[in-house]
Amino acid sequence: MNKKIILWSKSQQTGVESFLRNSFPSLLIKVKEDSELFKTAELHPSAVIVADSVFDATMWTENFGKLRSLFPDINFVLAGHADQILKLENQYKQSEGIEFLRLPAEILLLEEKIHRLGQHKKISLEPELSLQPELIKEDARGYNDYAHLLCHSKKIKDVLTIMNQVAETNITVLVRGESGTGKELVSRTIHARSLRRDKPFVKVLCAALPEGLLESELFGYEKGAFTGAHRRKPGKFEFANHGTIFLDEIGEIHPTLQAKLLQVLQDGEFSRVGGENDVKVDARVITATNKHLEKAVEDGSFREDLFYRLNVVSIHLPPLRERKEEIPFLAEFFFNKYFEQYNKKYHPMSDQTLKLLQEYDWPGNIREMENMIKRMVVLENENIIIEKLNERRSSESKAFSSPAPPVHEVPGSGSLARNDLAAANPQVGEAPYEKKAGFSLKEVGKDAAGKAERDLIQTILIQTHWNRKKAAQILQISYKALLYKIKKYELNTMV
Amino acid sequence: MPGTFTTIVNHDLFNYLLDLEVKRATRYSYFFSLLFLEIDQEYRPEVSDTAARLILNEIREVDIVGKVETKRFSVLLQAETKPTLYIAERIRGRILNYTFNNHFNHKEPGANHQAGEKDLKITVSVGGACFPTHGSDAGELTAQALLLLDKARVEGGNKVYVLDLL
Repeated sequence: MNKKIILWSKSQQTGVESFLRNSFPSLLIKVKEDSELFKTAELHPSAVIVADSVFDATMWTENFGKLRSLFPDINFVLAGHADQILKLENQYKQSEGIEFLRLPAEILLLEEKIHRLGQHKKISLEPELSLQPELIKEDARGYNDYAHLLCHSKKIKDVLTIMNQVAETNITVLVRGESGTGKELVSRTIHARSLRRDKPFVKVLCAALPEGLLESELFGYEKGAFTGAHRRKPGKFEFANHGTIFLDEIGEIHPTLQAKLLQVLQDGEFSRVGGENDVKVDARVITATNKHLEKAVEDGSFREDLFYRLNVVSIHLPPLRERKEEIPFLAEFFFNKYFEQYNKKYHPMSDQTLKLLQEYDWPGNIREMENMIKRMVVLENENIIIEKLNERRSSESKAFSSPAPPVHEVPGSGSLARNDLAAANPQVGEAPYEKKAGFSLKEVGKDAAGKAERDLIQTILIQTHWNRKKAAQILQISYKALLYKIKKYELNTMV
Repeated sequence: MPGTFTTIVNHDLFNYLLDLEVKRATRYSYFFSLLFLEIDQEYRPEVSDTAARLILNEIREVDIVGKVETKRFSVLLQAETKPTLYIAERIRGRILNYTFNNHFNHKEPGANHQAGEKDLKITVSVGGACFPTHGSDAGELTAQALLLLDKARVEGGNKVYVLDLL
């Protein structure tokens, strides 16, 4: 029989919670109040209690002592910020049945620790999950920013699976996704896991340079190739020899360069600008774009053959709004990261803020979120982001009155959790920022008025057989104004 | 005496400087070359010191000479392939034309070479490669240069091979 897991947390939804929900969906019981905890513990006297950052509450020591004496079979996982955990570790060094978990670094060990304590029957440990600690190991090698990838939503797991499959091959990979979803991170990870990991990783931002400069940057030039070419210069492709070259924003690349790029991909050869001979290179090419390349191919701005060359394997990074279940986890990660980086005194994020973060649409994706949290940590003021988010939401709702509002649906556990939150805290629902993103009254009025105007003008025009002068008289507007309106509403005789 | 100080660095320091140069060249996008030289004959260590001095005479102040082992030197040149080839040829010629008699006859330093005595000569083999075209990191570049050095030695020595930049 499986033992229950009791999550004891004062916060609405934390990274620990979403992790547990993912890993032990049927075993998790969440409690907030101390009295609730004792009742639950009575029902499940051999459970594992995961105490998530509750140690600052004054009753902690007392409650803990009481729990231990009342229910000797209960095991504990104490999870919290590193400083807190260090203190606790010293305090309970001698006790048995306690595991410590430093957040957020050790979050992935949570499952293992729970298994160790409760000897749970293993619950279909996904292969991707077991791969994740490897990511942390790589941190020591200098890439310490795998935050975006530490997440465990279904969509990111798919990305991880593809990444692991292609990493060790030399296949060209096209990474797609909106701005700020971590395309470069994925590319770096692929390189770090490939057999070329000890060779150079060269990054070229294609959008940052004009065409000519980009060519000499990528392929180098010979002495005297153009005015100012005083010496030979090696291209980025040469630096990436036997390594990986990462071409960011490949959609911006000029057609003439596309041809040259195609040549490198096909033959592994290129010539420097003004050079006569071909230089051989062996570089793995990873490209990234936030553009719809198929469309660019259709309208002819992107070469079809190059597209097929680049798009051997394509990794699509879903935008943050499609994986909202990760927001608490990411928020916590960045929160902790910047607390450490800026050496601020740690205090947990308020539930209100977290909820707000979860409801926001994040057009700038993870980058936007990271920077917002950074600002919050540095200024030590949560109100700033609350204000900011409200501001953006109101401007967002204006945008929604346009004919095709962006899809607003929250899939999976994220939406569930949100509904739970809303149900549990009805008073939060009345707060001003809770205003559902919808239509601004002004916009709606304007639209309706426009529609009515258009219909009337059209009817009158048909009545007058498109005699505009007559129509203008009937409508009691000037002839010019009518012409303007006809143009504005795109009316024509065919209608 | 800063500015005029030239010396032969040991292997570890040379490798460190090579690593540094790789990073610098990557960052500022320029070429540099790595040469390996080896004396073809077996002679006493003093010969090697003289050879080192000869090499130092032929290179510029910004270039670095390292000693890998008694007979083998490494040279870091701020140049691309063509000048590198010239410099390597110059070093080879200089050593080829130099008479090392003083060392072999146990003569006091400074004593003149006597007429009629048999000239004692040594030769060197050289292999070189250019960053980043022939190797995009220190290890690869070293391997390429050493391969060419081996090629020169196997073909009888007194030869210079530098990979063509194309």
